[in-house]
Amino acid sequence: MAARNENARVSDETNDVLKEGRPKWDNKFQYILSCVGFAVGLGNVWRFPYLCQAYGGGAFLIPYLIALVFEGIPLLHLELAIGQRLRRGSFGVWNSISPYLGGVGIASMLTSFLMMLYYNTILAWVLWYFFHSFEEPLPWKNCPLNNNKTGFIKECEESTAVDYFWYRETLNISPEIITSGDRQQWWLVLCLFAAWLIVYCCVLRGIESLGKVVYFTATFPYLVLLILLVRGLTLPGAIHGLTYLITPDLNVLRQPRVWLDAATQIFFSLSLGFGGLIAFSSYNSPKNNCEVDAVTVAVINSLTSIFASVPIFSLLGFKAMTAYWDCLDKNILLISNEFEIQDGNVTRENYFTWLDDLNATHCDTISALTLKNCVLKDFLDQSTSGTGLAFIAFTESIIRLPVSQLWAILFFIMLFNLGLSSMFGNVEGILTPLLDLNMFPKCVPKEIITAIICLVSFSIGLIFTTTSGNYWLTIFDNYGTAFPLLVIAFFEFIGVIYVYGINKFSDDLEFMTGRRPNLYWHVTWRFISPLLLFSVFLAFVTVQVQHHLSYEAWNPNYVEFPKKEKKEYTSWVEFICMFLATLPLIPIPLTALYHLIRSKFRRDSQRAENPVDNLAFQL
Amino acid sequence: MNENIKQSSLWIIHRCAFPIARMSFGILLLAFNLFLATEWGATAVSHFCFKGSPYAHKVRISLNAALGDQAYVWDECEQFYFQATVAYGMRKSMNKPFNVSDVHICAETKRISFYFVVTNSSDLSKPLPKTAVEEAIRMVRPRFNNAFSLDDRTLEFLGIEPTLAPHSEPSVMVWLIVFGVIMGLIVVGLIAITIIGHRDKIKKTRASKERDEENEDKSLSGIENGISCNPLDGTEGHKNEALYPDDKLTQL
Repeated sequence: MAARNENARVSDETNDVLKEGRPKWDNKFQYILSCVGFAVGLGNVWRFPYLCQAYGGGAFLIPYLIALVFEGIPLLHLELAIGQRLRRGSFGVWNSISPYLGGVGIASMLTSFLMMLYYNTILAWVLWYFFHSFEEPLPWKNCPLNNNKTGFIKECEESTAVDYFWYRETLNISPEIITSGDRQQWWLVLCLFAAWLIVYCCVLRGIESLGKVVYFTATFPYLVLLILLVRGLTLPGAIHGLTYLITPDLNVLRQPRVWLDAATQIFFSLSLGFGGLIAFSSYNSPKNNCEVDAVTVAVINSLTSIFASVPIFSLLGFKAMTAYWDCLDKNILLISNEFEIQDGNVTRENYFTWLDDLNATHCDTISALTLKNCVLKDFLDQSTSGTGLAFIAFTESIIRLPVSQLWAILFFIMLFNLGLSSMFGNVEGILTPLLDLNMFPKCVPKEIITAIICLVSFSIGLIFTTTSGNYWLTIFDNYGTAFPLLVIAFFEFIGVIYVYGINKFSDDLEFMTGRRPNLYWHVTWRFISPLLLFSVFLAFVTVQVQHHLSYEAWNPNYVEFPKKEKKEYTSWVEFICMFLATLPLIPIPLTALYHLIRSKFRRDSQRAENPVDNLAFQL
Repeated sequence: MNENIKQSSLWIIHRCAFPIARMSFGILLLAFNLFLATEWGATAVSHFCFKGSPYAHKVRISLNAALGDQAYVWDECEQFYFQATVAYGMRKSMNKPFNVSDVHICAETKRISFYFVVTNSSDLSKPLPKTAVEEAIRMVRPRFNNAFSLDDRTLEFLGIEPTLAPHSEPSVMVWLIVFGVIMGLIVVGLIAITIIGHRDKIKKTRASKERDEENEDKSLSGIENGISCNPLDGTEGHKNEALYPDDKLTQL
C-alpha cells in the first residue's frame, strides 16, 4: 500500500512537472555554466590571491581546502538538491518544507536584493575604466596639469596618478562619509545606467536569455586569465611575485584568524545562501545528478581561484619590481649628481657597492641626501585586495606594459563578465521566488516585472554614485551581506536535515540521482557543517564587535596624506550598519510568528470542517 | 779715421739702437700689458664664474641616460657648440650681438656638469644677471634640447624649470563615444529580443489554439448520446486529499 502510494506520488509529480510549463535549461552545460558563473565572481580574482599571500602562501590552501570539503561542498549540494527537488525559488522551497521556515526564503531574497544594489555599482566602475581604456595615453598614467600649467595638481603629486584617477576623477570621493552637498556624479550615474541596462538585457527572458549569454560571460574570463598568465610570466619580477605568493609559512596556521577567513572566503566565494543556486537548480529536470554537479561547481570555483592567483601575482611582482627599480634610479641620480660621477657609472647592479664605498668615505654627505631605503620586499608587501587591487595596483602595472590599452581592455572586460554572471544569480534569486509567489497579476509579463526590479535597484543604487558612495558601499558589503548569510546558511541546514528530515531527503536524492547519499554527506550535513557554521558565525561576530566601527577616508588635507585617515562612524551611521545586518534576518522570526498565530486561528475554525472532504466531487 | 768710426758708431747707436731698444721695450710692455689684461680678464671672469656664483647657472647633462649606446663624447667641440647655442639664445632674446666668447664655462666635472656665465659683449667685467639668461634659455629651450638630441630631463639647467607641455585633452570625448557605442548596441539588442520574443509568443498561442481545437474534436467524438464519456481528459481534475495524505503539510 505504501509502495503503491509512493509510486503514485512519484508518477503524479512527474506529470505535474510535464504540465507545469516551468522554463527549463536548454542543456545541462548551460546550467553548470550558470552555476559556475554565479560562484566565480570578482572575489576569486581580487580576494583569494590577497588572502593567499597574506596568510603564508601555500599554507593557506590547507584551511581553505578543509573549509571547502567540510562546509562548502555539503551546503552547495544541499541547495542544489533542494531546489531541484522542490522546483521552486528560495521562498517556495522553504515554504514547502515548513511554513514556519518561509522567513528563510524571504531573508535570502532580501540579502540578494541588498547585494544587487551595490554589486552593480562595482560593475559601473569597471565600465567606467573600460570606457577610458580606449584613450591614448591611459588617463591614469599621468597626472593632469594644474590651472596655470606650471606643475601637476597637488593632490596627484602627493599621491600617484593612479590613486588620483581612482579617488578623484572616478569617485570624486569626499573626505568623510557625511558631507554637505553630496551630489550624484553624472558620469557614475551614466555608467550605472549602462550596467543595469546590460543586466536587464541578459535576464529579460529569464533563463532562456540568461542561458545563452552565460556561454560567453562564464568562459571569457578564463580566456583572459590564460592570456594574462602567459604575458605575466614573461615579465621581469614575475618570479618574485610568485615566490612571494607561494612560499608557505606554516606558522601562520596557528592564528585562528586564518581559519575564520578561509571559512568565510569559501562560503562567500560559492555564493551560498543567496537563493540563486536554488533558483537555478529549480529549472532542472527532476532526474539530474545534483551530487556530481555540486562537487563539479565547487572544485571549478576553487581551481579558478588558485589559477587566477598566478597572473595576478605575476603582474603584482612586475609592479613591485618596476617600483623598486624606480626607487633605485632615483637614488642613483641623487648620488651621481651630488658626487659628480659620470652618469652610467652607477648602475642598478653596482649601486649597493657604490653606496657602501661612499658611506665609508663621505658618510655625512650621504646621510644629508634623502636616499630612500629600497627593498624589494617592501614593494611586494604593498598588496591589497578588493577594489584597491583592481583599480589601483593592477592598473599601475598595466601602464608599464607596452600596448597598455589592449591589456586594460581585456582586464576590464574580464572583470565585467565575472561580475555580470554573479549578478545573474542574484537577480534570479529574487525573480524566481517572486514569479512563483504569483504576486503580480497574470497579465503582467515577466519582462515588466524584471524591468521594475532593475529600475528600483537602479534608483536605490544612486546612493553609491554620490561622493561618499564608496564608503556606503563598504558598509553594505561588510554588514549587509556577510552577517545575514551565515545565519541563513545555518537555518538551511537545520531546515533541511532536521525539519524536512534526512531520511526523506535521502529518498529524494535516491529518486533524483539514483543512489542514496553516502557516509560523507550524512556526517557533514548532520553534524560537521552546522557546527562549523555556528562556530564561524560566533567567531565572525566576535571579531566584528571587537574592532571599532571605523573606516578609512581619503582626505587630501590630512596631515599624513597620502595615507588614509582613520575615522569612526557617527552614531546614526552605526545604527544603519546594525540595521543592515539585521534587516534580512527579521523575516525569519516574523514569518514563524505569523504562521503560529494563523495556525491557532485555523485550529479553532477547523473543527467545524470535514477533514475527509472529497473535493473531487465539488462540481 | 778712428775719430770718424767713433763718430759714425755713435750716430748709429743714437739713430738706430735707441729706437730699436725703445721699440722692443714698447713691444715688451705691450705684451706684458696684454698678458696682464688676459690674466686679469680671466681672473675677472673667475670672479663670477664659480660654484655658487650669483651669476652662474649650473648645467647637468646625462648623455648615457638619454642616448645609451649612441651617446657622443662630450669634448671641447661640444662645449663650443653649447657656448654657441647660448649665444644664439641671448641674441634672440635681447637682440644684442653676443658672441661665443661671451659665454664662459667653468667647473667642469666628469658627470658632465658645469657652470656658465654670460658677459656683456662690450664689457668683459660685467656678467649679465641670472634673470636675463633664464629668459633667454626658456625662450629657446626646445631648440636647445634638439641641438643636443636631449630632452628636458637629461639637459638640466638648475634653476630654470621647464614649462610642462600642455596635455592633450580629448578625454571627455573618447569615453563618451565608447559609452554611446555600447549603449547603442544594448538598445538594438533589447529591441531585437523583444521583437523575437513577441513573434515567438504569437506563434506559441497560434500553435496552442490549434492544439486546443484538436482536443475539442477528440472529446466531441466521444459524445454519442449527448453525454461526454471522458469528462476528465481535458481538465485537470482534483486530487482527493483524503486518499493521498500530503505529507508536505504538517502531520496529524
